[in-house]
Amino acid sequence: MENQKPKKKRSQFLEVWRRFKRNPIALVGMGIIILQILLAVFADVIAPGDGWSPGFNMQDWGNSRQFPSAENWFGTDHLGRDVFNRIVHGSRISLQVGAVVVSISMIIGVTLGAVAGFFGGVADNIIMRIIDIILAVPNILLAIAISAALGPSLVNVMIAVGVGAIPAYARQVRAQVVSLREQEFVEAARSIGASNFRLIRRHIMPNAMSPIIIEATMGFATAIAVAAALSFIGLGLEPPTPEWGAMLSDGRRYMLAGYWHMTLFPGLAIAFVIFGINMMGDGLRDALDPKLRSGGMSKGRFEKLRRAQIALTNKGADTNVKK
Amino acid sequence: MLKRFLAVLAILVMATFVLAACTGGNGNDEQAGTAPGDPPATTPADPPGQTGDISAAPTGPAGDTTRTDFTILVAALPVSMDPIQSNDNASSMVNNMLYSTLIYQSSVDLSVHPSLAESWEFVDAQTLNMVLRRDVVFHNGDPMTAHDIKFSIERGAVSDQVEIILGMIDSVTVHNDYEFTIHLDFPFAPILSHLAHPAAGILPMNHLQGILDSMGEEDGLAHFADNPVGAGPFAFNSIVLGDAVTLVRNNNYWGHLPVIETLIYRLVPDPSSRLMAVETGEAQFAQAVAPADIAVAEASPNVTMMRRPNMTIHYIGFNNNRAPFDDYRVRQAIHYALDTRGIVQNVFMGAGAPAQGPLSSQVWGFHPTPSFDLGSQGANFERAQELLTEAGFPDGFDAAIWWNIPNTQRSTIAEMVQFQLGQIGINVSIHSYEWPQILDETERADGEHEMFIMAWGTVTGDPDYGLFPLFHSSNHGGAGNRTFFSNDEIDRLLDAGRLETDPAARLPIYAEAMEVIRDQSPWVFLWEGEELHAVSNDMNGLILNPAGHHNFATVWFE
Repeated sequence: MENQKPKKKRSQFLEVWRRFKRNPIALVGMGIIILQILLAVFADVIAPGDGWSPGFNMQDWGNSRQFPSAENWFGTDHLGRDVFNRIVHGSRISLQVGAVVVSISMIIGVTLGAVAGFFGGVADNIIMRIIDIILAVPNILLAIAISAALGPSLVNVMIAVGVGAIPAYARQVRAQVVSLREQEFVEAARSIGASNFRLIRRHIMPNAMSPIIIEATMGFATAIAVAAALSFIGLGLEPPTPEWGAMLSDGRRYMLAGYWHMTLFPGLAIAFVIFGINMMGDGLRDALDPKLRSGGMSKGRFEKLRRAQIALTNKGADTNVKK
Repeated sequence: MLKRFLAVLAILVMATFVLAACTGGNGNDEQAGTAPGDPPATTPADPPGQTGDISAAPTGPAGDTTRTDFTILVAALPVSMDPIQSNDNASSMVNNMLYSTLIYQSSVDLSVHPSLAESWEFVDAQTLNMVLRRDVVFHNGDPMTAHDIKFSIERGAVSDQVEIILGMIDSVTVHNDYEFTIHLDFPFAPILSHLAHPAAGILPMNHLQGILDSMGEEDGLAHFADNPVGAGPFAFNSIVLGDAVTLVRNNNYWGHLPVIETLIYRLVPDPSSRLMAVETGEAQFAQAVAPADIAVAEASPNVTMMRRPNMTIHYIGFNNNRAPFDDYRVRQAIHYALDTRGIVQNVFMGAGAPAQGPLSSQVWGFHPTPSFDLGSQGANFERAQELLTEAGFPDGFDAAIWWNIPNTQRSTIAEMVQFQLGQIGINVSIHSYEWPQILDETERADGEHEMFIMAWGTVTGDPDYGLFPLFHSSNHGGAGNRTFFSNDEIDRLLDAGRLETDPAARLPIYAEAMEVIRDQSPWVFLWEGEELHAVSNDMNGLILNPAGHHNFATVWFE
């Protein structure tokens, strides 16, 4: 038992990786993410300075709104700060927001979902109705409301975005747990006296991980996008934090006047990272659970499958799709 | 969960409110200051066409006129179309066209001229006899009499919103339908320019009284504010909340009939979008062009940039009730440490001018009180450091600066202040609040504000309006003195200035007051504003008003 376990895990991981690396777009996505992580880790090397003088917060009013040049690769903003430096340091903020938001929402969401699914009854009802209510409010609106109520700061942005992401986890996990809890191996464990906690932790959750991992990956991208949106409308981080959404918002005011670089580069940064994570998430989903492809989020693929299925049912009513 | 829903709802409602409350860059601290019939005032006679100048402006080349509808893109819609229920730029801009006032103040030089009041005479410094025109009819057909004047003016005198404009009026005595006397609480020199403010607009007594009687006080006032009736050049037609206010020409206008038949104020919050709409011909007037876009407007073949320095002063206020800002040396140190010229140059890109004291140079009685010796650097960090050390803060301290969403110019200013004060060890954190929230907090003597960015429009053009509400210790809080500045010398000077009726004697009083204010530094003076509007090339006949309340009744197109 002690020997077998890690070995089994490793082979499962390798199997996923084998499937994942067959998908070139997913690999590109992963490349983008790795690049961003490297940027964040080595931000102080790539764009040195303690922020104020010199550094990403260093203002040079006489040198404001300069177009890209050898000196300032991405130009300077309205306060004469180097846009490239700020984007590099901004990648730290984005990663931080993404990671914390996913952690908050995953921990709470998975716990709630597992409790609801495992115990059922009143607990299930109460938890899921609360989740339904949160779901009823559009994600971005919820984030705006919370953020406006708490005031702008990094922690509040994380809470605001995190709360909205809880329902997705809770529902996924609940569905998994409901189907798993009646399985024979759970019965078996229960019959030899395993506690509820142990049943959930050791027997049910490991089998419900794939959708959570996929949800977490996608949630990472959403978190970055919503946080940027909050900053864009002035409910995000406090200045002078080099947040990409805030940079976009600053630059927007100078767009008509022709200072394109102030919006283009932060915009590209946001777009690239979200594109990367989504591509990686798609690949991960396919690799983790090939069966999920049919219900996958890729619209084209879903359509193709649906049409195939319709064709199939039209061909012969005897085809028992359900098995 | 209900709470959260309510919060969301509240935010959405608040968003619209904020848009309504914050005009372009200035919030509702910009107030109205002109009356209708605002031609190039060469004669002190009637506003409506008597001399060549006056008749030339509104009529234009009859026959050549191609357009009779006029769309104005505004940054905010009126908070209220009842002249005394709100005192903000957006409301005044509309009310100015809906209502007529006793006096009108020329856009050209802010001189006062007869309007509804045919003539007037000061019996003594506290008593003003006036004679009303006999040909004035309200939009609903009621003829205007002295009873309407008494009703409207006395109503304004006890209104919280416009107390600073009409509060000094004790009562109005009616002698007959066209003669009346205004009694003041004390001799008040600038009373005539106050009577020209849109807040002193005259409304039909019987009409409003009827509404109040049938609907009750509260509902009736709300109803009137949404269905206003005045005697101005344009009458109310319709309002679509969050979109537009439409006025139509008052064909029975007592003054010169406008060429424009339909006047539309349409809300477009984004300044660049406003400019683009004029460029494409969707509208003819874009309010408050962003400084960065001035060059774009000037380069456009369809658009003309109209500019005029205005009477607004933008400032950073210190809460004098809160340590360490209760020490004038700390306030002075910050004054020394800020390169306000650099800030103004960067944020406003050459529009307006760096402030030279608590009043705009456009205001009568302006006396330049240049900042302390800042040297060629624009800021004097050594002197700032010395003052901080004297005050007992050699290593600086932590402080907060507030600005109101969505005024991004102020957020930029806050970031620049944060950067510069960082150099003398003051760690500044930046907080953004909604406009109503920032107003509430800065009104309280125990408010937690430390530094805040605001503006004040001296819309009457008289130094009393620009100084008394802001620096006199009797006006702490919402009345205007949000810094809670108290200084006996200033109180004495400002009292003397408003009671003195001889203009020549007032000048030195205000000059001295401005120097004391500079030395005490309850504010850092930032920027003298500028009216920056983009109009379509075929628009004629408009003279920008330095109070920001332009007379659109004289516009024509060709």
